[in-house]
Amino acid sequence: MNIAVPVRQVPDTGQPLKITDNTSSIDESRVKWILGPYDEFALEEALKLKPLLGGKIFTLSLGPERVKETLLHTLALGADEAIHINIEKEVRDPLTCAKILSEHLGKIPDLSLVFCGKLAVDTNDFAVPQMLARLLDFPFVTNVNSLEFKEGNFHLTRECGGGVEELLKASPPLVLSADKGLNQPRYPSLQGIMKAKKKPLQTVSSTQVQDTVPRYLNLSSPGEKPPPEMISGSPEEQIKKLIDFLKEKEKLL
Amino acid sequence: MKSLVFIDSTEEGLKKSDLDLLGFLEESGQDVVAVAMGVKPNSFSPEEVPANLKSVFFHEDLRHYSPLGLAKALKTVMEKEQPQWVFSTASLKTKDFFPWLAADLNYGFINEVTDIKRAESKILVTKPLYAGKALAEIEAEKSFILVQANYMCGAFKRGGNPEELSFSLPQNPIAHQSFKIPEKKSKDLSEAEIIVSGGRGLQEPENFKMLEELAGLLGGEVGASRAVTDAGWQPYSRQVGQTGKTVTPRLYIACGISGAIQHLAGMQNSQVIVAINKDSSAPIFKKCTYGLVGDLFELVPEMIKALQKSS
Ligand SMILES: Cc1cc2nc3c(=O)[nH]c(=O)nc-3n(C[C@H](O)[C@H](O)[C@H](O)COP(=O)(O)OP(=O)(O)OC[C@H]3O[C@@H](n4cnc5c(N)ncnc54)[C@H](O)[C@@H]3O)c2cc1C
Repeated sequence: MNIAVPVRQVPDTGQPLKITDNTSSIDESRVKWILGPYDEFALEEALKLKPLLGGKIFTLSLGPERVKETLLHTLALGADEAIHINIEKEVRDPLTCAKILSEHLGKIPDLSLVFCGKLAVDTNDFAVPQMLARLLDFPFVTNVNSLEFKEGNFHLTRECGGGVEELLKASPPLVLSADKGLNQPRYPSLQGIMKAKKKPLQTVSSTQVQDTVPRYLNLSSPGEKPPPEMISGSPEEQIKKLIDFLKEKEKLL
Repeated sequence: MKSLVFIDSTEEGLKKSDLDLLGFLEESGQDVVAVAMGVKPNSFSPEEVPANLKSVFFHEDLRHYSPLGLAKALKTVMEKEQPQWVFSTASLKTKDFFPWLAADLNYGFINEVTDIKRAESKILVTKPLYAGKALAEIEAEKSFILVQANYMCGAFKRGGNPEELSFSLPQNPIAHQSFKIPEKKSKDLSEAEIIVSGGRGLQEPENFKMLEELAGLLGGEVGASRAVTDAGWQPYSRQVGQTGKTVTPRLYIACGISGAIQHLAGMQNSQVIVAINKDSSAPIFKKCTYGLVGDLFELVPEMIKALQKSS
């Protein structure tokens, strides 16, 4: 049973970003790219499941040449094969991403599990895994924060709001999306990095339409917030003034 | 062109943020109908029913994880209403099954929207990207649109008489085993109207009792920074930020939180932000509405005292 882990290359989260003059994208010249933080949990779990399920782990990513670096990183972590779907344009729309990915996922033989991160931190969309489930006609569970594979079944936990967790049972084929807490992702070993260079990393093109509906029109920088009201005085005075503001001006209390 | 609002229903009633959104869409002059789905509320006072609530669908099985059940139910309503846009507030439930249905019907899906503009036959929405470092304007033709809670609010018209739908749900491929309920059950942070959040500045897990007390007096919930959830002082379900919850309460009080970019990503769209921090150069002071430089161990108890007195 083979496992696929679709991954997204995203800008490192701590850095500032600049929008290009034509407002269509971000200025990539100084961006450091990383593997999506939730994708790390998905890949780690796939690596742990591989000995139990047998088969291989395929990672896939769509984007320009630069995403190969992230795919190479997934090979260094232990994935067996990587597929780079070469698309110059930034594809942000989740359904377009899912259609492109599913076209290539459909070609992986004996696919029993698609493990994704629950969301991509650039778009915050929380959507591609469920869309893949529909396009592949697999059941799905999102937001998985613990997992055990026993006697052909997955025993899963997911948060369903307010700290309540639901325990579920499902069997392959399945699409899962990983939440934080699922595991502690490993770092690549030196040996892993050496081996990665010899593993298959193929580049393919997509036949799927790239013009997306809904359409992203432009990007802008969020406006500067007005400067804050700094409240000084003794702690007692500070709190009194704060409560007055919250009551009188903000009508909150 | 019609909009449909999905209103989540639980034992406690119809979800307030979805009703607020319905009110907002009505006030902005949209042709809008609503459907409520989920578990039947324990009490359902007729005068509270929105005028535009055309149908309701309640099923005991929707108590458990059943995205395909919800999708089928909503699809049935959509076939009748033929909406161009389907709206709701972003929650773990809607984020889970809307994308599946979007792929099924070949609709667009746009999550965590912060603004909606109507331009003739189109809807233009704004959505933060890259943890709020950019805003994207998106043209939504046929789409599912999830908005951040407490963002777009209005007063909905009352006096509806919805039809109660009944049909069987598809076989659920995912088997429910049990629920694990935490000792202190709380509202989901992404829906809370007031959040009191604590960071590493709280020093010890026990000190969160103080924030619980303050949140209790304000009728809010307790949130945390990643430093706190990583240390195990608070469960991950309370983490606010890029790799935690995106929250948009009316009031967010950050105590002993420095305001790292990943934390700001999750809370900067809150209506009013109060920052309490002893370091006047902490980045949180660049994003707050009210800033109090000082020791949280003095200021938080002071605030508790003041609120106790006034209540
Ligand atoms: C990929 C990635 C994702 C991340 N995602 C998130 C996320 O989702 N959410 C998140 O929060 N972080 C996230 N982080 C971590 C983030 O970068 C910060 O490390 C974290 O937010 C810091 O938490 P803090 O503000 O509680 O702690 P600190 O940065 O240590 O700040 C503590 C603050 O408390 C103040 N303080 C101390 N004592 C007192 C006192 N007595 N009275 C008043 N003030 C006091 C200090 O002045 C200081 O400003 C992420 C990081 C990465 C790399």
